Amino acid sequence: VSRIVVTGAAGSSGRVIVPHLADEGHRVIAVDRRAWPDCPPDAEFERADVLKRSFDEVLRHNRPELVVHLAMIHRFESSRSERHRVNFEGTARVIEASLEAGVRKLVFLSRATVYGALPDQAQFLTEDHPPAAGRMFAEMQDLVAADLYASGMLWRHPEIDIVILRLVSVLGPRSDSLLQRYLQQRRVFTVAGFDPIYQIIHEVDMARAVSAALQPGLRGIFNVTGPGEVPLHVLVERSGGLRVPLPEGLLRRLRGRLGFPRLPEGAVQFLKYPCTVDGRRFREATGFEPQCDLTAIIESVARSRREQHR
Amino acid sequence: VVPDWTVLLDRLVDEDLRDRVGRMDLRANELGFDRWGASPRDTMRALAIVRWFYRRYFRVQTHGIEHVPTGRVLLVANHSAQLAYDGLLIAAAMALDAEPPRHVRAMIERFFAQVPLVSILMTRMGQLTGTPRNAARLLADEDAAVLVFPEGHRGGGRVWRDRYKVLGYSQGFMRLALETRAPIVPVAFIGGEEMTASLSRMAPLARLFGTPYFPLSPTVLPLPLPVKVHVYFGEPLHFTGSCTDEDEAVQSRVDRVEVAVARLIERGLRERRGVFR
Repeated sequence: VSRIVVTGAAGSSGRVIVPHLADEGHRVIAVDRRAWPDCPPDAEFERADVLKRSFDEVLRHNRPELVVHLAMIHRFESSRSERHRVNFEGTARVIEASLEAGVRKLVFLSRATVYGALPDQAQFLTEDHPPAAGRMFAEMQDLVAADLYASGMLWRHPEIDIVILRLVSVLGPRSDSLLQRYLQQRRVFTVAGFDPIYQIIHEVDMARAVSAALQPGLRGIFNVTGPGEVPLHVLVERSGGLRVPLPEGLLRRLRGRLGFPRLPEGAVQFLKYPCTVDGRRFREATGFEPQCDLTAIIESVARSRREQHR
Repeated sequence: VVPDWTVLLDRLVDEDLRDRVGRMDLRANELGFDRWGASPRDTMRALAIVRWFYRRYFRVQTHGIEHVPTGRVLLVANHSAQLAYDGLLIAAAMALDAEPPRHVRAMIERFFAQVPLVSILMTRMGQLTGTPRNAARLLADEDAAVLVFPEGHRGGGRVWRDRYKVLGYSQGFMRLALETRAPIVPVAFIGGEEMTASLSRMAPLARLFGTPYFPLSPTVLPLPLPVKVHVYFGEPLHFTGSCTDEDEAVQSRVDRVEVAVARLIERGLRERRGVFR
């Protein structure tokens, strides 16, 4: 049983991870700058902003052994400067404050998308591959920078065990990932002539992976994969979506108009090319095995869709 | 709106194809795809069409296909034919005439992954963008049969006066063989030069379209000429050494493969009775 501070606890990942860690018997201190009235009763909620001094006070007051850093903005609706402030400066602040407070371990939930989806890129990238998403997708620079900053601190500070988890796309009833929201649209637009494969993981397996990363002594950068790979068209059709392939030029021009989702230019890359990673290092280091298979994950998206569009 | 052509293709898939694809080293997950996005079902459908071209149109004859060992192997071939007709027919030979049938993974020029539809077709058939890491993973993890054309697009887009010449091999395939300890089977593809004879690579036009070359040839699309195709498989070559050896040390081994393929080509040209029969 450890004292764990979870940042960004009221976000969609936190809403799965906080109850999971509390169920495992840990004392969980959920931190978020937003209010979270639904915080599970077996966790404590502290309202604080990781960018402000109130967060240091939370650490000083609770003296946690572990910090799970989830306070990241993955959506693109927020302004670029806000995303940069929270994602990059926020991550740096959380690491700095954790070092000062003598935290033993910090788990940072990054994403496999930091590697980018590029036509000339190999598949099943290992952790040694440079995160190259910024080449075609400038809006992801802050996420890449945060990941790399944490990686650098990992080697500079042996006194804290930093674990960076680069997670594949998370799906599930509580998930609010970009892929989940993409799949839940009434009409799902794809790029005609392209059908990249995706790696997906169920939200509960995400929480189990975070829990596996807490084991003493584990430190480093790890890709976290789920039960396997699936082409985008199968993902769309099996989850009940109406797939509408459009030529790339048209899709780019219609972005953000006529009810089309407003996505940055670079996001189209992820509808054309695969971004797949090798999750072996994490599985070998922790014994982690995802429990939810591909069919079950897709079925959970289909259920969420039906509820949303009813 | 679009007719479901998969139903039509499924009618062409017979017991023999099902049996052969079933015995190939192509394992699909619960949703019907392998981890690279290849689909055994779609491979069957494609083979149903390719088989007609293989047997009737090009009347492909293989020589020494039994030389291809089981387990991981690098097939190294001369490149020609402007569009990957040679790769397609070599892969078809391994699927239709090898025993047991093998699923060939060709290392494809990166340009094609950026072409709509071509991108899907190649993925469904298990064909990948030719990066060294993809190939190493296929060989080391899956004991795959990987097909490479070390001449790259210089070979694919070659012009008539360069027919059946060795245009210089790059070293990547040899470093791959050394790293993964995979044997190399030299392959000669005879007929590719005549089926799509090209007079120029038309570099300015290629730049305009962003392609590696733009063949000046009347026979690339929709159909190449119905030449008689021969595919020669040489005996496997085994190499030892380190994949981090200096260029010179690797080059001498590359030269041995180059010579082996050139000899097979010579033999093929000597033995054939004509271009079309």
